[in-house]
Amino acid sequence: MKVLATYNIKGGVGKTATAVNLAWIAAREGHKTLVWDLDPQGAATFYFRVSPKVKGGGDRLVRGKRELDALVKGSDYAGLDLLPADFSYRNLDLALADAKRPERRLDKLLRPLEESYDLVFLDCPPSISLVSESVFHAADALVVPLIPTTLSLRTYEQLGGHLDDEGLDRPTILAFFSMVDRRRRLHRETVDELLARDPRLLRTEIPYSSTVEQMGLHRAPLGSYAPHSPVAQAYERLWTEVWGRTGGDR
Amino acid sequence: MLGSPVTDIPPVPFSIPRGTDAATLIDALRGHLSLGLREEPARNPTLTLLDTFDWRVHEAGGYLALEAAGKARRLTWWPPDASAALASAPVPGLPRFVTDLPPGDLRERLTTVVETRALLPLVRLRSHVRPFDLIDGSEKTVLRLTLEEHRAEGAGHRNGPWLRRLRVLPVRGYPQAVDEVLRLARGPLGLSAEERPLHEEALAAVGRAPGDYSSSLDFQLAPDQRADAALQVVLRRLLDTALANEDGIRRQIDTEFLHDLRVAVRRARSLLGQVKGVFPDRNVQVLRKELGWLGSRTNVARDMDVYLHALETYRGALPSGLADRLEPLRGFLLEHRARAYRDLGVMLDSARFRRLVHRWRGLARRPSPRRPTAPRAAQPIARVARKRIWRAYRGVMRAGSAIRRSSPPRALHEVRIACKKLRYLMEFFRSLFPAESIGQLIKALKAFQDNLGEYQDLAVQQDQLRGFERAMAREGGLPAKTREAMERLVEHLAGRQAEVRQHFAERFAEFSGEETTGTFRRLFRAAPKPGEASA
Repeated sequence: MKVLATYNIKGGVGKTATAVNLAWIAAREGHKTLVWDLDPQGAATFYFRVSPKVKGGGDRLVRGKRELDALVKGSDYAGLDLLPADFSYRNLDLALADAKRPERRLDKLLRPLEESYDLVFLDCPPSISLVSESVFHAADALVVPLIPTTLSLRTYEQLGGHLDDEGLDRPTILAFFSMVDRRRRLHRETVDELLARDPRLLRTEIPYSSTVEQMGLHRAPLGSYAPHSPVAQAYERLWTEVWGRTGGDR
Repeated sequence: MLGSPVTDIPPVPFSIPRGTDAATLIDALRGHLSLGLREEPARNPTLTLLDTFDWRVHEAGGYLALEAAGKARRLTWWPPDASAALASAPVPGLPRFVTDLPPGDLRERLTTVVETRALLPLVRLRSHVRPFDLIDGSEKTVLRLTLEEHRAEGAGHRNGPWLRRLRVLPVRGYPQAVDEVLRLARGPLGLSAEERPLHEEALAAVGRAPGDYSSSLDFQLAPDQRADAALQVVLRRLLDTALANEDGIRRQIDTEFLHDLRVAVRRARSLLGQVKGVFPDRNVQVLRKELGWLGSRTNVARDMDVYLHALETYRGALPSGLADRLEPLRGFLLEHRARAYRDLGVMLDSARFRRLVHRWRGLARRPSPRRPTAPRAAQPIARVARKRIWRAYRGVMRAGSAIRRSSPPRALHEVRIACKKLRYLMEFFRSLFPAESIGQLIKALKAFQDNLGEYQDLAVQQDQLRGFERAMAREGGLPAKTREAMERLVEHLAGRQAEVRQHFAERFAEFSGEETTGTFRRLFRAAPKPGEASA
């Protein structure tokens, strides 16, 4: 089982769209896939038309009182399940703080899912907190969307620095440019310059697109309503790259 | 443990009674449901069920189906309840052998089950599937239904009746929807649960049932049954097995048809040779002689099958430069195999073969005479079986104990033959003895036989390869490098044989250990008291 987390310290960069669309593609390719919506805003949960409610809330979940099995909801797509968000996740930090070895907690909760899923996507709330610490320990790779602006890039560097400080060799950071508007000179130049300079960056860029914004209207992954749109195609390429960088079918 | 793995929820299939039409059913559903019902585009897939002649996929659990929808073909291994695919792969068409499948999970898992057997299309299901989604207020699918019509088509069979199903496919995390629909189906809709899985229904429609062929000896004998009647049960089964494989041999479907026929013939011959005084001697002698003839007429074809299969192993045993030099041997084997199978066809068409089958059937089916001339015909089978097994066991022990370090290969060959005789008897009469004990003995014997068998195989292979060399030279097809490769192979096999020989004493000591010996004594030695045989 591979655990991928879509993560950025900064919000509004396309994390949830990335998790939902990549998970949809992965499931279509035959990988049993679970999306765990860890963000109390519950955007991924909304896209899958599931009501954001976890019985007993994040607190009981973290304490291991609720089995994940009972909380999973099937999505409308074969091989793709969802662990919905709950508004109580806003206090997940506090719940984790009470747990033993909080940074290992998520990893431990995920382990029983090993037999059922090939892939788990963690859709994380922005910020660095106990939740993200726990995510760093559980994930094989962080899939990090970057908007080509100075501020966004600073957070990418912060993240790299943070993981280095912690001395973690895992997770791998898989950063890529998201919401790129090639009509804007700043975007164009930033993307081209950084891609040339940093070989670790994924080569695929996801264009800024109103088709992505319509996910909220359709309440569905892109591939299900606009499979031939350029942005859906870009997600396909992104998935190929992510899958390859995380070892593929190894 | 913080949680259990997420389990797949099996679908719930219902049969639709003949009088009920689809439109009425859908209307009734809509009328009763608290949820929305949305119809999705219908599909018209064709499903072909495949298995080996001896039902290996069924034995391993589930069934194998090739689904054709439009131009796409997909082969999927389903569990018996069709809940979630065990493994699946896209394929260009019907595969014949597992080696025709694309590399991957399905091929790997099937290889260990199917081995070298061919996958045979058993029945084709033409289907019309109407999928429905049950949706909640957010238009989230909380349950799926399929309304299905299937019709079975088998080779040489009329089309089966339409099989109609309503399948309830739960979506994880929405148990209330499942409860509601199941209540509806059983109540107002008046549907009953499917009696047997669709794939079995389809097979039945063309006159097949999973497991309707097996080469194993899984019949039940009664301890006090008359010996002649009991032996007839065995002989009938062996005859059925032999004949069931005839067509597959003629059509050269795979190599195991011939193998199964040979085993049945060998078993029958061994039975008639070992259990004397049950049928009139004259009948037995003639049939035994003819079975010997049949066996020997199949030897060349089997050898070619075996050596062609062994070629890959042989290549692996040689340095890479020499491995390719074995190709002329492959050519030689293929050519001789083609000839041998042609000869088999001639043999199967011969009057002598037909007479043999007639004789075999005659002995296996004749009514038991009230006053038999054969001395042991009317004895209880348990007594006869016990005596013969004990005698065969002593034969093994005698031959085995006589083996010394210096004993010639011939002596080991004799031990092997003695073991085979014992093994056959124990398998024929297995049902007369306590299952666990005889199971253990057969297992112990098998372990011992494996050693002897390997030793003998290695000896035979060396002789055969030398024989092939001479024949290839005669036929003008033995390049010097090929000769060298084959010589190297013979050396390699001789080395292995010496290694295997070293283990004989150890294996025999295991087989003649206290526990096994004790069980043999307990089961077979003592004169039976009434009623003890089945204990």
